[in-house]
Amino acid sequence: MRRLLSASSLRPGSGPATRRLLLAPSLGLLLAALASAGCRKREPSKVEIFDEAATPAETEALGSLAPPWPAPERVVLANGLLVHWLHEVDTPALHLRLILPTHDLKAAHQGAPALTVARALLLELEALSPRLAVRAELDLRVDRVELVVHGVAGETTAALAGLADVLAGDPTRALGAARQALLAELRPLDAETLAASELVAALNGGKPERERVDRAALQALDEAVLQDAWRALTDPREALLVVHTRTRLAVASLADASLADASLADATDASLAAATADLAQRWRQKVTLLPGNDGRSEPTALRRLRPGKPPGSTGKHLSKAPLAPLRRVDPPGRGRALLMIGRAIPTGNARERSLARLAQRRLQEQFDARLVVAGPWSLLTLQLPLGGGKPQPLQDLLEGTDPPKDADAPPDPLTRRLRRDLTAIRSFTRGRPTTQDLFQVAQLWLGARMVAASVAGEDWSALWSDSLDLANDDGEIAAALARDAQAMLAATPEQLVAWQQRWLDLSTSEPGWAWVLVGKDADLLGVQAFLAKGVSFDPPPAE
Amino acid sequence: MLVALLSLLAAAPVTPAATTPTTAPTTALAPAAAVTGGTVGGTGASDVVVDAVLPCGLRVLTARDMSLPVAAVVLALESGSEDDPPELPGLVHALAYQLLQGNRELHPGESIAVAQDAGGLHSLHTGLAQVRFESLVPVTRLDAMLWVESQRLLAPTTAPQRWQQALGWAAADERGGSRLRPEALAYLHGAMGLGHDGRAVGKPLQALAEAALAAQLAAKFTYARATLVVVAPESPERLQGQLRPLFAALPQTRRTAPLRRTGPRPQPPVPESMSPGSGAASPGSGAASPAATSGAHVPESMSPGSGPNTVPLSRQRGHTFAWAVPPTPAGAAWAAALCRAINRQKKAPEPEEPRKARLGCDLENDPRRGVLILRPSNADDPWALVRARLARLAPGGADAPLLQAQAQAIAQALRLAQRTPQGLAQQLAQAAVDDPTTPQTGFTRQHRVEDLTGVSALADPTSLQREAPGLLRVEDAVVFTLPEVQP
Repeated sequence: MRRLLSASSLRPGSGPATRRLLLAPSLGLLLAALASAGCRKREPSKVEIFDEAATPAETEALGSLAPPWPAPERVVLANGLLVHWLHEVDTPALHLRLILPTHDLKAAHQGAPALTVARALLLELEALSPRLAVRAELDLRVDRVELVVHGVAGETTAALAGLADVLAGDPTRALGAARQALLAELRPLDAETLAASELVAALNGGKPERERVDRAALQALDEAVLQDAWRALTDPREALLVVHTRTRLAVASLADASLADASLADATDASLAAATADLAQRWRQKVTLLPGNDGRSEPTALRRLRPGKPPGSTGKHLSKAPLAPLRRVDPPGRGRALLMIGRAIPTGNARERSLARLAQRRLQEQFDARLVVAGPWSLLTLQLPLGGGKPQPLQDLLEGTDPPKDADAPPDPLTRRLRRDLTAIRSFTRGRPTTQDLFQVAQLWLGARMVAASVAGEDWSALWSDSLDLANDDGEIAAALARDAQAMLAATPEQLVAWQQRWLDLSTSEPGWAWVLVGKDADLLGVQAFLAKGVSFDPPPAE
Repeated sequence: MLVALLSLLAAAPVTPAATTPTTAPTTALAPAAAVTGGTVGGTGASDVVVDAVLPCGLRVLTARDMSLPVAAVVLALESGSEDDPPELPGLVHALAYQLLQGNRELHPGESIAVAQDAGGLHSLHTGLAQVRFESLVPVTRLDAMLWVESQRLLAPTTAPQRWQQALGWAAADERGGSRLRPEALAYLHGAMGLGHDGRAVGKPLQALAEAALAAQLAAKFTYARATLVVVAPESPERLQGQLRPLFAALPQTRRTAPLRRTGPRPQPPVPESMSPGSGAASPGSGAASPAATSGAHVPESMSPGSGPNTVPLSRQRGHTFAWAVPPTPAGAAWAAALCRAINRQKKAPEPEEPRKARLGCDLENDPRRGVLILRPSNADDPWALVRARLARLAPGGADAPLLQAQAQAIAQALRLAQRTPQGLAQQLAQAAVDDPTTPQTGFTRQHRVEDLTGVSALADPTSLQREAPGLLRVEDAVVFTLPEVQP
């Protein structure tokens, strides 16, 4: 997994969300996108309906615990901005979600500059509130930042104008204020953040410093870099705007005139076309080298948002050769020592994604296991605390006594506990769950996702953002949540066990692991020695 | 601005209480519609609430929300700490926790587990006059949640260890955060049952015998004084059809949910020297009508004051003007708008108002016993300050547009809150107060959501006088002040 933007998902049950921001290097350059610039006649934007794959019917969507949204509209505006427009009848709320990919940023713009720009955008959007009934949020996801504006549907046009004001304006003041705000908010890096950044760097083959933001990096920023980063991150040709409101965008301009019937026309606000045109007119890419090329942009959302090259495998194991090198990090302050294990897992289809999620949810019942799904690849991490409390005594449930002492057991209680945890993880990946257990895990995950979305204000744009991570191409986005849910409910215990043994079994899984040890030297000498030749496990209980 | 208001709504629901007589005609309950054409059948409109009283006395409100596959279920019981027996303060609050302990059909905590095991939420809200069990569940869990609510009140367990555990939970709860002391609240509402700490857990409760506990549970928590609100993607008629069989086996009962009116207040003596400007009671003020005061008594900590609406209260700082908010959704919505407008009023220039004079407003949004509180400061004549400010907000006054703007802001906030099933269900539960003018058994009606929740009333400036007649008159306030030292 490359370019981890947020170390944890905000989805229910995936563990506490970290506030540390991890940014990864960019391998692509914007110049590549500019290389094919040329003069051409600009055509008016054409609004289309997502119709490559059928959107699930309402009953199917509801039964699958997915939002029953109709097929949304999409349009590429004259400035290259891709818009996905979700229409919900009679909703009084408005949600605008501006999705800005970070994977193509230059290395110099990743990390602290990108975070500062995102924070500056948030400050500017928050400043709209005196004249508009809006609230702004910043949502950090893998390979992208998302700026969200929540308001009232009656102010859709005004909110779009406000967005244009922010993106077309001079960002100098906001960038300065954002840097000050970040410096005030930033806390010292803790062990978990350090471990996550080291692990992601190991999986990427990149530098850990680019995976995290610290005070020194923020202080070292100069204005020119920030201005460049602003221009690069807010390039409309790379961005996606998701709108959820009660009106349609522009039925009259639909290619299929038969759809433009009276009922649809009623839901269309003519002023929206003018507002989007104004947005396209005022918000332009600032580094265009040749005139007239800003209409040349990628028309599909997933190609904009996902890096072209998938993360490679480390090719390493944890228990046999070639052994993954164990990185050790000395935390700057006091903190609990921990071992973080992780790997990138291909999740190219709904079935694989569902199995990955089911495995993570079941692991989560005993360990701190997190899964970040980013389209065809996912990152799974396991955090094993070292020390910081007495290990739980193992008891024979039948006899109520401690098991007999193992003569080969490591003398250090820290390593003894670690070996017991690793053994438990391996046993877990080999154990067959019951069908009922799997069904309950799936129900809990799917139900919690919808309940959390409802409590958060029924913002379809947030669920659309989730769908972007679950789709293989743009035509699948609308149905991705439903397909994901159906695949999860259809998973069998045999499928899950086979998948776990292939990807999660610490002894026999495919290579691709990395691990990081965080803690003070003196505390971890025994653990380092214990792990030097790879993980080992408790012997199986005697018959 | 509006978002801040929304967060306020979330923290302490501003939602209006009590129902208003509907303008929609009473209709027969439509049979459950079939699923056709890939859509969930029944009424397509999402702004209709079907309102029925079942033979067992349970009132049921159902509405549709199709945004997401989730359903909100709220069982609201018209019992609160106001109904505590004098010798058992805190009883209803503790009994509400006891209802989480199950019965012959539900094991302890099962009502919570049914929601949470499917990723849903379950919560308990206790108040002065209402207890609510609120659930938000995936729609696939709706049947199970409805079954739980159909069982919850049936012979709850009275096992002593369960009662002691419930008392422990109750004791760990936060105490009520009212700005008025209990005795003041009781006097204001004319309800002496409010004059104690409704969340107390004392020895009398711990010593409650099992039989007495069973009797109290049966008296306070029955379906005949409950309202079940369901908001789900199904049509309201279909939800009604889904619900009815669950309660069909219960005996036929007349509905007994109390209407929480402002009761008679004890009448303080009116000194002959009292000037009209210091707060003479208005003849139209029913709440403080001298004719209605018979039988009431003054709380021990309060002594009769120096004027009709002035109540000396020990340890009181300055003057506190308080109004009982009418228990109607429109009345509560107008109170919220009025309070926001007062807090946004610009100060009149001298000499109309002293330069340092301030007036702050607080609204306590209890669904049945709401209170509007004004606190003037740095004013030589607090009555004059309050009267002048309210006069400016009255129709034709200089600040009437400000009030109307705030009414629109409240209406928008209510609409946004109603957008989610949970928000709509909470508002409907708080709006569902029985109308004494309509028969209380076996009716089925339809309402528009905006009528039932008071949003419609906010669009009409003249409805303030109709829905909350006393809120703009200082004569209708109760003024709590420090007792004067007697020579």
